[in-house]
Amino acid sequence: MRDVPAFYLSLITYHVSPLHPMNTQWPRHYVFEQPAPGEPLIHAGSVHAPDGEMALLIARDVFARRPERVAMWMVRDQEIFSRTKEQIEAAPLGGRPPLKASPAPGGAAGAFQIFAKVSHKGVCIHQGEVAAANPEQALLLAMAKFPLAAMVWWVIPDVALVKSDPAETGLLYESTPGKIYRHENHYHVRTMMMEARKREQEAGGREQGREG
Amino acid sequence: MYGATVEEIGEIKSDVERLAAFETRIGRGEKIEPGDWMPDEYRQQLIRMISQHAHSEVVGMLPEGAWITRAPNIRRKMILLAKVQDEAGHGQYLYHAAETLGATREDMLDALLYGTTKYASVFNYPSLNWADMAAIGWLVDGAAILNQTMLARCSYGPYSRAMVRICAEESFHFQQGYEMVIQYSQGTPIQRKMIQDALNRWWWPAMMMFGPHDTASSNSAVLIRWGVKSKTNDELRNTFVNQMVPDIHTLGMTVPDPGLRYDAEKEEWVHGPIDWDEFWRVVKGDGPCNRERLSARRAAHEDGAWVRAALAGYADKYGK
Repeated sequence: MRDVPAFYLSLITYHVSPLHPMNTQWPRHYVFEQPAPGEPLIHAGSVHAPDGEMALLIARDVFARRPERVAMWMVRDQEIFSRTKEQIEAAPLGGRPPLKASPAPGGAAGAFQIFAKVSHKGVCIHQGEVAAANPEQALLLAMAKFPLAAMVWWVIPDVALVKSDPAETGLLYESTPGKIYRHENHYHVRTMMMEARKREQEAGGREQGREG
Repeated sequence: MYGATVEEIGEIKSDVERLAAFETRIGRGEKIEPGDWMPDEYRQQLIRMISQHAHSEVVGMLPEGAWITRAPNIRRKMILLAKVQDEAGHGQYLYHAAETLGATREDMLDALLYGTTKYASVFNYPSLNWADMAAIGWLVDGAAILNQTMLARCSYGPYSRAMVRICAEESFHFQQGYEMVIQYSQGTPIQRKMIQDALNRWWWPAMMMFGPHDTASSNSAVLIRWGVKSKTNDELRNTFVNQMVPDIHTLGMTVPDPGLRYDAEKEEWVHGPIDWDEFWRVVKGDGPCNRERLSARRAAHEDGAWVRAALAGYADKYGK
């Protein structure tokens, strides 16, 4: 175990900000994927990409190379307004001027997509859409519209999302039929081993005390 | 993301309080996600583990890739192609998981190509004939699956989710190797000899994949404390031994371990001493293929420079 001062020094965290000179990475895009028609989109992870179009392609290779998907949405990390349940309790919404103005011109109500995480072990799942003037208002409306004991809420302006084209679903996400050897059931090892063990027993078998 | 930083909410916590809250979350089985507070050591350990895992997947394509053009039949060739392609994909999942912790792709690749980081030493051994494909699938992927199944429960969200995807894809890698081992061990005399020889050469490298003995493993304690690992190196290794040895015997083969014995009281197989001198030599870069593997990776990196330049140029010109 480390000595105490070194241990506490190790608690100093750093954040690699986009403006940091050491950060030569492409911007981060969050990835949401829809496993099947009719199911809600879920948060899959994030990718670095130069733009939304490349993000869709890279995300396809990272998250949907084998499993099937019907759609993916991407958003730049800086567009996500996030609050945890604890943070909402500590600083209730609506009490201060909003952090960000509405994405729609003229301050009119814009569409926001709402995601929420309800369990420690889960991920953020799409709940639906609300119309609001700013993200905090959108979150207040969302908490009324989707009564959940959510641990984390994410609010994303609809205009910030880059969505896969439904017409390209087959091209992008369908797995190639006929590649049966990728399935573990294709290999009849269980049957082969059962037969081998039976032969071993019939032949008198090997005592378990034998050395290898 | 925004809306939740200290400045925006106005809450102030000391690092001691943050660490306590972090350890409470781990204790509850919660996943730590990118952007959550985490001790710097947690971040650094994970970057080390995940990037080395990613490098291992990519370097692991080389001993198998060499045999794609020399597969004995079309079915075996298609299977091997799919397996090697999967390994590239797994490397991608893992590099992305490491990036969520602030590691950059450039730094990770520089560390690999210029020898300042490690990848699984098992991939520094040569693949001498087709039977090695069977032994690698059965022993090496078998060992990897045990490790990865444990890591699928790890506390860091992106790594655990990557492990779940990798485990699902890896199961056919193991099954195809297993099928070949069974087939060759029950085949012609030449096939039986080849598969026993391959087993003799790959058994100890696979056993060493679980890492040093617990007493010599400096990283294990903090990794277990923070929910990254839930089993020790020796626990996993012993599970592997007890899974594989009965099958090796059933198939009429022997384990190349004169010290292997059965403990009748505990009802388990116990392996003999491991040659750690060889292990450390290989880890430090003096194995049969270390130089060859790294120079192959460097060549691939340099040959691909024009693609990276083109993407960057496009992004500068047209990206939003």
